[in-house]
Amino acid sequence: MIYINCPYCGERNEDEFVYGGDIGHRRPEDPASMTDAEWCEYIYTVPNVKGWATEHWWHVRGCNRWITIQRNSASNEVRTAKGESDHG
Amino acid sequence: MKYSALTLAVQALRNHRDWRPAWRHASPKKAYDAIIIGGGGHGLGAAFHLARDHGISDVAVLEKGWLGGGNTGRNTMTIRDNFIYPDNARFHHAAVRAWHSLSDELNFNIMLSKRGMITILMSDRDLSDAKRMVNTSALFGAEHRIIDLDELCERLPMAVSPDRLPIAGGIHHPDVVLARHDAVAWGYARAASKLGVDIIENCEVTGILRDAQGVTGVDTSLGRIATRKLGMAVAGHGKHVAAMAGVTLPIETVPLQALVSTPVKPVLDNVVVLRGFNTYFMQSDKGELVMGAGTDPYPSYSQRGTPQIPESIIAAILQVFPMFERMQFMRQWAGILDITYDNTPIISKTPVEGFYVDVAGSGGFKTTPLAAKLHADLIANDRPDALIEAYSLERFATGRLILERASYGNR
Repeated sequence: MIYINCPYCGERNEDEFVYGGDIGHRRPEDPASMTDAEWCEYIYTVPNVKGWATEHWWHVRGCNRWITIQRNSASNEVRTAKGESDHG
Repeated sequence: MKYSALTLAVQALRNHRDWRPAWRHASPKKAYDAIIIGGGGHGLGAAFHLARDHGISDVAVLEKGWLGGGNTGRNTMTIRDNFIYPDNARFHHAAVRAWHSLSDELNFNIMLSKRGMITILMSDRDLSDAKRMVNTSALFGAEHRIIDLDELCERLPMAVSPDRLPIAGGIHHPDVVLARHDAVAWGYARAASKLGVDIIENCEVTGILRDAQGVTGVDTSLGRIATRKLGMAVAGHGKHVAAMAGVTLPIETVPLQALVSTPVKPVLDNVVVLRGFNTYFMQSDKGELVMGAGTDPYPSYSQRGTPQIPESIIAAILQVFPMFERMQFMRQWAGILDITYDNTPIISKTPVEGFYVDVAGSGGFKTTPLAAKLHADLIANDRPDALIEAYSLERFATGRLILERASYGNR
């Protein structure tokens, strides 16, 4: 069980959250100017980091806000949790 | 030594003194005609087929840990072909058939057990999806059949009465089989080793070497090995190994969990799928109830998995089969799946000449004999068989995806 220290609600277990993806995987600013290959790469290829990753999580069964955490994808250890991310 | 009833009888009389190790533990040579990365079922199988069918026996299989220690030893042994899209239905049905002759081909008992599977459908939507699957897969010779509530109750008399749950019907999949998963790795290893393949354990690939013509070799924890043909049959770290060759694979790595109870006497013949709960279970030959579900809700490389999944699996099974209430829970684990955006494997050439991949099976144990055979064919002839054309890496550039819903990694 991962415990995530929500900056608004305190420490809660992972059941209350929904994973929202790696922070490095951002929608391009101007899709119209991209080539098909670049667009496909954005759509289908995720960073898939092994080790420490910075991620969006949604506290859907809590304060309903998006937060940013650092999680180690090999050990599932969670390091920091910051406030509102710009995800949604 | 050929395994047979006669050998067994002779060895019994001689007090089992003459059994030999099933395969050679090799040290790496300086160069090979072909190298396979990954000593699970898919990798060992590809090496076996290169040697047997294509006359390429100067082959090494490089395994980071021990044989069959990855997802080959972590799956739930269920071999099924209930897929909706034609490319997958055709491939998986051919894969199920390929299992039936495997014990004979390898002279190794993989303990194939023809159990059949029952899917319990919990809504009208499930029922209409099921009809579509039955009709699609029938085009390729697969036998699935919608069954009504009476037949469902007859086949699963221990299930709760349909009066208590919204059960809409079921599917009977008579072709579904189980196979002893470790035996698959051991059988391929023994057969490949006998044909001259070098099986090298504790040998981690740390780099892939290239020149303008393509692959030239690999750097490993046991030194540099040269080759012009490199096949990759890796699960869980496919993206990272392919990246060593400069190839980007559209893969996300997600745990898939399984758990078992303590063994009890035989009570359940079929594999049972609870569609509405996204859960399945069966009883192994050893007597354990083996239970599983969909993938974990977030990506991870930890082979443990998140605890709410076992909890929901057990809750689901107990709702439909209250008789298992007092079963003892024994252990739980996760395998790490490489999952593509469309939940469909990549068995393909890559932009790097001489580098081939068989990855992202999304529960790839069930396709082992066919995927291994066609991967070997791809390596030997440098062109894909018709059955795997749709599994090319190029589909992520052309957009010809196969958005399969019957795999584990449903999005």
